[in-house]
Amino acid sequence: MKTGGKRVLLFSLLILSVVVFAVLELIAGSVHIPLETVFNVLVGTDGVDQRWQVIIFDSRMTRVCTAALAGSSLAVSGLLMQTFFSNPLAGPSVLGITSGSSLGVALLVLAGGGTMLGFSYHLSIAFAAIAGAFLILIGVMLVAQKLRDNVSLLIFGLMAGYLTSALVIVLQSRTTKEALQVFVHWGFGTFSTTSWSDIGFFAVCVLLGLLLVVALLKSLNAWMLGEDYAETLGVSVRKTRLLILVATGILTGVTTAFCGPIAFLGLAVPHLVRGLFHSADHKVLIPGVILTGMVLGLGCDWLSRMPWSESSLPLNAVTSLVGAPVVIWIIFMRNRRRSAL
Amino acid sequence: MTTKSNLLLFLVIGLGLFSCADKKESENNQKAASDEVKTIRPEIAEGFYFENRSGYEELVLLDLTQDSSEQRWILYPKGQQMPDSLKGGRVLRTPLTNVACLSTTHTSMIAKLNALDQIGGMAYADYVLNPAVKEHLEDEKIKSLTGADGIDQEQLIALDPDAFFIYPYERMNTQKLESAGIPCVDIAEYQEGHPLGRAEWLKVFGKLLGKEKEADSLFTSIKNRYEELESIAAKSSNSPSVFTGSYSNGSWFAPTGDSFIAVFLNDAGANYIFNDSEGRDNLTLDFETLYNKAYDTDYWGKVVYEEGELTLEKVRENDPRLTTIKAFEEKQIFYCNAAETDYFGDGVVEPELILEDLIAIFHPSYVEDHTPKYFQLIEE
Repeated sequence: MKTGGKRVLLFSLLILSVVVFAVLELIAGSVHIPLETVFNVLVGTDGVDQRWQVIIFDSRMTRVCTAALAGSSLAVSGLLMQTFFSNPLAGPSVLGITSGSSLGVALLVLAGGGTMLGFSYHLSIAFAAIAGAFLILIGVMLVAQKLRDNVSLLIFGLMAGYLTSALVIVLQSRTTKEALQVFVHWGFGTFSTTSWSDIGFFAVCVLLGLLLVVALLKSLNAWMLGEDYAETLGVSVRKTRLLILVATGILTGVTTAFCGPIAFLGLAVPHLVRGLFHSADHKVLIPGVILTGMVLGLGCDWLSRMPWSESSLPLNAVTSLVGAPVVIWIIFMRNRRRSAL
Repeated sequence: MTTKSNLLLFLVIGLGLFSCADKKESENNQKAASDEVKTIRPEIAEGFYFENRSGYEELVLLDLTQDSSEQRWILYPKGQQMPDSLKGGRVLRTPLTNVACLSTTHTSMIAKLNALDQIGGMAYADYVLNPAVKEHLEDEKIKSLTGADGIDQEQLIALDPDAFFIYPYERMNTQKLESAGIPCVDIAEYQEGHPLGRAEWLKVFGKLLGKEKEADSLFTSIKNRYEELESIAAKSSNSPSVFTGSYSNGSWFAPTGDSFIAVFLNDAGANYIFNDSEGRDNLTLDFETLYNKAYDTDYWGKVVYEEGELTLEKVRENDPRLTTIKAFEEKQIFYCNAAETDYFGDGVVEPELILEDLIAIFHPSYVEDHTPKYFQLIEE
């Protein structure tokens, strides 16, 4: 099969998988709801019991949307960072943005009273996480202006992570059990705390981030050949750097705000997509990681609910349990292909 | 000897000489004075009992989460010469006159016994709500030992208390404290499955602080009042359904049917919707399971920790989806604000007041002229 045809097939398969997992999420839950009722709620038939409406529309549907948004935005962030640093180990958390969010939430939950300026508890957590993420992002941008080399930026991100962790540990050591529990649970990650109004805001931010990425498509391909080479191709290195950082900051920051620090998805998905498409072209990779991110986000959430039992697992445990073997498998496949040549 | 018993022997030795000597001693004692040992079990509590032996007593503390685990303390009167045979065990010389407490529950218990002068220091002093304990802290009769890990170990060692009351689950390095000569006594009242069982831990503090009679009569009056209220509530022909728990990061944590909370609700003439569940740990439910169960439940109980009163608006902000359930629509939400009322401290030794509050909520006609202390219905 020609590459073009194969790609169309792969994209169709990915879209189909998104739909399949979304449907699985909608029909499988701890409360048994007949398929017909699920369908009636979705098409808006009158006279359906209110409790099924709330469960399907306000609980399962919001999870589907959140998982899809979070999966794709983390996957795109991961790809951006891997391209930016030319480092396959980079992920959305390397810039220290996730740690910044953790600090914001820790300050609110562990040191503050738990709520902010009359916002509800839940929205307060989201805002604290966004504020923390942007604090670190601004630091990263300032460093990026001063230092031209990306390794320094990587080190800055790591150090910012250590610094914020230190502060979080101090806060953790002097708080109540109840507050500590809230913070630990936030760290488990979840797609199930978002309401429809959260999702509206979340979706707008993700769209904004993705638009920036679309605008960057050409520059990203040139970037892979090295900054100097990119410059000779007419790419403004300075502008591209800043835009990549802003896009990653928005995507990671807002996802962490609503879902907690989700591990591994952002690192694993780009590898999976490169392996699937055998391509390094961002025009292929970006839509690829968006769809694959959705599939993994939905799939991991579905698994974490363990539909075959009454219990459930923390989302972060599932993302790593799924993500790590995927990356290991890809590395093996790649090596095998190389030795076969 | 089988491999298994070899392994067991190895484990016993490996677990430290302390416990080894401890066991051996108590075994010897048991042999020597087996006909004189009289076991005194509490009426309701399951986590402790006393053994009367010739000339002294032993306090046995059980960790109800682990069947095999027990902590044994020889209680030997102060000022009396202790026989050499007992010296290898863990000893508390009673009455204790200078103790340290990890939790506000401990200080509330001791306050109830009018023995605050016997506390030298406490951790988590910032969370104290009991006025008498607060006063003692302000006058520095009780030192605040709050530090980086909850407790400042150096200040604790400097205080040199007769005993340090702790929670087994804190898993602090008690070995270090013990080797500094501070006996760490596990107080596991929170593991009890009955509110009266929790309150009965007063007897442990009473025995240790030389307030045994006070503790016994206090507990008897608490128990009598509780049972009186229980029989009043039992007369009701209807029992409204109740759910409770807390929502955190997408999961709902609810006490099981074995918990003291379930006992409170049932004794108050209500029907706890998770009565069928078992175990000491909380149930973890996802939103849809909880929503489905809570949808047509009559009452919603909450323990909150926040400034000011709980309002319907605050409940709505926390999760708008739960505004569609019956308890919210009919404004049948009752709550205790633990930031303002000492639910986790004084509440442990006032189960009869908590029960009365609950009966006043579920069956108002049974309790006249009632002023709530812990639980009240939400205001609009």
